[in-house]
Amino acid sequence: MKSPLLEVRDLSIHFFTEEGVVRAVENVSLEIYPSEILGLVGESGCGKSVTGLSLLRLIPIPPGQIVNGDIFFDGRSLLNLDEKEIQRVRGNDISMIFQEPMTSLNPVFTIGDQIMEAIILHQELDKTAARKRAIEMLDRVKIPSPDKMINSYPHQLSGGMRQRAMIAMALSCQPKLLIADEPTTALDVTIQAQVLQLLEEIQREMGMSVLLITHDLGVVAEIADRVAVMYAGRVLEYGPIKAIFGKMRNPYTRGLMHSIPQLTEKKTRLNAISGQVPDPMNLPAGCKFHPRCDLMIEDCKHEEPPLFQVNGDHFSRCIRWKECC
Amino acid sequence: MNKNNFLLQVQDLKKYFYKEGLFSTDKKPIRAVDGISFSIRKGETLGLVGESGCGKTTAGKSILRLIEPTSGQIFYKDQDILHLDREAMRKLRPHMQFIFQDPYESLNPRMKVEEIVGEGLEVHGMIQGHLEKTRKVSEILEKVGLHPQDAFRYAHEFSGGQRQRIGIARAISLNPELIVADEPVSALDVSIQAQILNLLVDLRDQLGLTYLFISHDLRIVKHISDRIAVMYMGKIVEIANGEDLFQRPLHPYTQVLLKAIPKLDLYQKREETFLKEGHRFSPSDRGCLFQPRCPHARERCQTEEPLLFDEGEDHLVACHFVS
Repeated sequence: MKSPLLEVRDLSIHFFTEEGVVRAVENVSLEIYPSEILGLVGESGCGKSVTGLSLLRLIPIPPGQIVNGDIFFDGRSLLNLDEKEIQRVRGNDISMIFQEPMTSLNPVFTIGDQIMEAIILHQELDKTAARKRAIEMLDRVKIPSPDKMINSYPHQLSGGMRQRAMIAMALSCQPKLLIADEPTTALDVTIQAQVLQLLEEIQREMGMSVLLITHDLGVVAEIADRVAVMYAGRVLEYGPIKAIFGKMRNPYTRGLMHSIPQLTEKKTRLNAISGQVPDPMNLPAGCKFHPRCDLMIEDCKHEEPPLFQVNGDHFSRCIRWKECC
Repeated sequence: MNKNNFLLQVQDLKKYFYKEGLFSTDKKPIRAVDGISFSIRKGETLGLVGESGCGKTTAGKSILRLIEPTSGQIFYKDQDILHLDREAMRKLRPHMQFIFQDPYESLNPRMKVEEIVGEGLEVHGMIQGHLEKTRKVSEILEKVGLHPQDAFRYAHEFSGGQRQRIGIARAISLNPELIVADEPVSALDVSIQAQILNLLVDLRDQLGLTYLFISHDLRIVKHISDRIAVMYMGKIVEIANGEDLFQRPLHPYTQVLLKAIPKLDLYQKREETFLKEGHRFSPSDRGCLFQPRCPHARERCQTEEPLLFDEGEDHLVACHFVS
């Protein structure tokens, strides 16, 4: 197997707040290989976004603190870089797009200005060349008449167009890794399909890697190669999408899947996961999912299971993974 | 009027918004809901589906007169509710209730759950005295899967899913027949969505409720609805039995919408969606509202507005060229 482009090793991120310690990410290990899309799936508060932000060192410290682990990009530790070096990584090597393009674009500058800023900063091109490059990028993300659209302000674009402009900006320096945090969640379903299609196309063309953070298993199924399922700060299941969608070996992943209404089935009651998402300040002992799990046995209450190897590169953090399918 | 045991009949309902402002010269209204008609039988669930801004929420609110419609007729059983005065409408309110999308904003943070759920009972004189209120509220809380002790806590102490249960408790507290549920699970996590959907289905069966279920999520609408109406830019473009709509979508917009649903099956090939983006229909244009984005548009679509007609088996569609 190729060596990973990005490797997260035993990463733990805690937030020290007045109310107590939030253990947002606990011993997470992930690899992203060149030219692959890794889906990072989970519900709100599971730590998926914090994990994504940490790759660009965007966690506010304090209150946050990386208490354990390391992140390697192209063999270098990102955690040991100084501010100037990490600045060079951001945008150049790794860039990021967010859920709501309206809040991440500056409303008082045209999208052209904002794309050019990134290009000028990172690629040391002059203004004319940067503008040309920005138009190319807009064209590449299929924004119609890019030479005119470059002068529009974010509010003049529709939600789908804004997200395209964000993608253009993120890709303008040809990063090796794109972190996409819920890139289609704020979009209508027809526009979501187009943006996903675009992401996949560009990813193929440029051969970059993508970390796709989402709550939606459907989005992952559409474009990811491998997937990591997170719950309460932990990775509970990890592996190639075909293996996991073929046979889910963790009760949480299976429960998530069963929570989604199937289009082909006649309606019955959904096989919902019972209970509530745990309070991150007050996590249960043992397996974090045990209070909601239908395979729970006494051992689950006391000891947190390791990641078991199901086969090859498919892993599950469940002592009863063999019985789960 | 009421031949088919319809609980609710909506005819040519319109809600226009006019821009207000000192310097506004724009007299053209925003046609949020532009002449929609449909009926719901007792015990039936009608799903109203569409993308953001299509007017589905405005339609839902207009039907319960939470906002006043511009024109049209709404019959609840045999009563034309748009012609009811305040007092008559107040008497009718317990029969028709609303569940809001956001369980964080729709519950008063200064009220305890008992007050939120019991308020309607008091206002409508359905209980006497505090003891009866406590008893009745705990009964309702148990119906929605909450603990009677939860009555004495504030809404903000609960998670999103539990809050939506409180919202549902409030809606069913007055024994309604009709509930308009506006994106009731959209703000919730996937695992919690399924719990709330199950609850809504159970309550429908136990209490014989009739739902108008508004959502942008086609999977969810398909799951809960008997019939589905698809809205686009203030109009209903297709309405049919749920199974029929998914097997035989007739309107080009419905077809695109269904194709765009992310597939959970890896071996099902994704279908390309051809929908053009960003084309806005200006009010001066005539013809089909979907025409600027439609892959099958022809000349007639630009000049003549298609009306809903029955393609057989109560499958209604508004398109000149049904394929």
